[in-house]
Amino acid sequence: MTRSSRIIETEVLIIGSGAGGATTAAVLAEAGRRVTVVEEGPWIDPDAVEPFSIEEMVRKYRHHGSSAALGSPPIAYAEGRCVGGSTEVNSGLWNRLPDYLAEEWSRTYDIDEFSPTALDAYAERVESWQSVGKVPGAPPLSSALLERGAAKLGWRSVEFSRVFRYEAGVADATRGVKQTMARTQIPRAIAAGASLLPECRVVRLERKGPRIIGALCRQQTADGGPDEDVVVRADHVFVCGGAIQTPALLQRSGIRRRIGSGLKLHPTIKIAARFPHLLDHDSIPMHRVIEFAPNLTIGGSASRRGHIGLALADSGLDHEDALADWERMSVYYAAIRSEGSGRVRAVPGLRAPLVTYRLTDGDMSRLARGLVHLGELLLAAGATELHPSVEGGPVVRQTDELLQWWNRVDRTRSNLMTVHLTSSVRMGNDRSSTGADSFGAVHDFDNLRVNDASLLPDAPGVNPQAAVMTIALRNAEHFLASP
Amino acid sequence: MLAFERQLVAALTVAVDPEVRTGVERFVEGSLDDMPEFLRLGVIGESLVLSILATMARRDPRTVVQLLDRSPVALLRQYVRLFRSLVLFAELELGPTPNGTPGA
Repeated sequence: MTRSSRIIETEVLIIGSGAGGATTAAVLAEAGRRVTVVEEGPWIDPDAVEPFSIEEMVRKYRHHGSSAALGSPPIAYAEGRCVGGSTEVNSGLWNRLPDYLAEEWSRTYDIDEFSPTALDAYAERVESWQSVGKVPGAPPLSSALLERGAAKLGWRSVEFSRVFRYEAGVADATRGVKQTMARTQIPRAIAAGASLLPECRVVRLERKGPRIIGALCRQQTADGGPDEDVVVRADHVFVCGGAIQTPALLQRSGIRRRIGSGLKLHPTIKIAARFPHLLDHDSIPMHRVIEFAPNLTIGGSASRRGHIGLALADSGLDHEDALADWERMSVYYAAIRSEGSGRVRAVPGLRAPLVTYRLTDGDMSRLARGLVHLGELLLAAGATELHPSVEGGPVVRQTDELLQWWNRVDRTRSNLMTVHLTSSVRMGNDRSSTGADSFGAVHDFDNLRVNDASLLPDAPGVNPQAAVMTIALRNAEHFLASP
Repeated sequence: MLAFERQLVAALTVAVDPEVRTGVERFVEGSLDDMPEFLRLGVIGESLVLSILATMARRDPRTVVQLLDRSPVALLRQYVRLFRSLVLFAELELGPTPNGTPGA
């Protein structure tokens, strides 16, 4: 602590304001606890920035969205960095944790009170807060094409729910308002008395034996002057910075046992598909093809002109003609559950942690299969030209050409990315494989908890926001019930 | 952003509108500055080596891009792909759409 530090006293310090942190803050503040939320990113009015735009990339993403897990191949990833975290920049798709995964994780990692029935009761409450539901009226064409392709092939597809609110009587899918944390749980927490410190980065936690006594932070000053040192003294600390930042902070604070290893993500391979008709570009398709789920899921991505350009450029082939026709194109993906795993390591002197990920040969094979299945589906849906995110392509126009992709998906030519990162501080009573107990309390500490995507013992195979919020509510209520 | 990187960005930018070109350069510079240090250090290392090689071989940035695109070394192809991705995304988002309306 420096002599000029500002000191804040609170009962519960919550670090991070994404799906886990904001839910925790709202539940604890409404229960009468004195809560302070610190968030590294800025507060940005959710209505001020166009979704998926370059401005969003600059203002709401960590590293402008340009980060990668090193490995062979490297995997690009993106995280939100603003009040509300990644809920401000994601698709808003909503998927409860599948029952069989809850049962499997409960058994494998010895997690208490983790039955599908128990989790469903929490999920129902979160869903009522978040206006979870299907789009009113017909889904956008870019989404309906997934359903159409699946139906032609006899594959199963589903329309996912989303966290969007619609005015009564509105039947236009594009007119919903995404219920991000900055619109829902953060205002709820503040209304119940919580304090929010945006643009405040926690440098490290301060320890005294098995207790955390507070956090040393640096907060940007409003007038653009030098950052101010802030010390937040707290009786209880919840770290909710997400699967990359949470283990990095714990490691910077000297807490390393089972922290940062076991990182999981959903490696994703893409296709820019050209159709003979115009497509919508304002929202992310809500249909998913689940014929091969949970190990392989097919869906749609953000498809503004810039995203289509990026996807076309991945093949390294000439794409000017396709790009000129971008209004008839959309980007789709195949995402796998990976056998491999990664690590997050805080490196002294560096602000960002080193992230690595190792894909197995089985993962590479699943990605190749995923790309071929995705191509099959898009051609069945009426696509006339497919550009894979694989160097050298080739561009495919007919089903019998798809097999050329099998041998092209390798470690040197595949361009992979992900937006789902989990499992870097696993939960469970099995101390040999977990960093926190069944309710997120970090092993060997009295008052330190994790409550975000880091706790999920494995990648769920779907957007993890529903699982993160459900588990965060469960853990927050367990904390309130604890002596 | 290093001088060589600035030249590379200029070579990859297709737009002629000076406002768009400036916006693209600013976006790429911001992205590089904001990158995790371990990635940025790797990119700087590659930029320095390529800058020296390009000067010695008297190659202009456009030729360097073509050579990197065809390189058998994946790391070099990834290097140019990084710059191309940043430039292309910014150019398409900031530039006018083909029907003449301003970009987003």
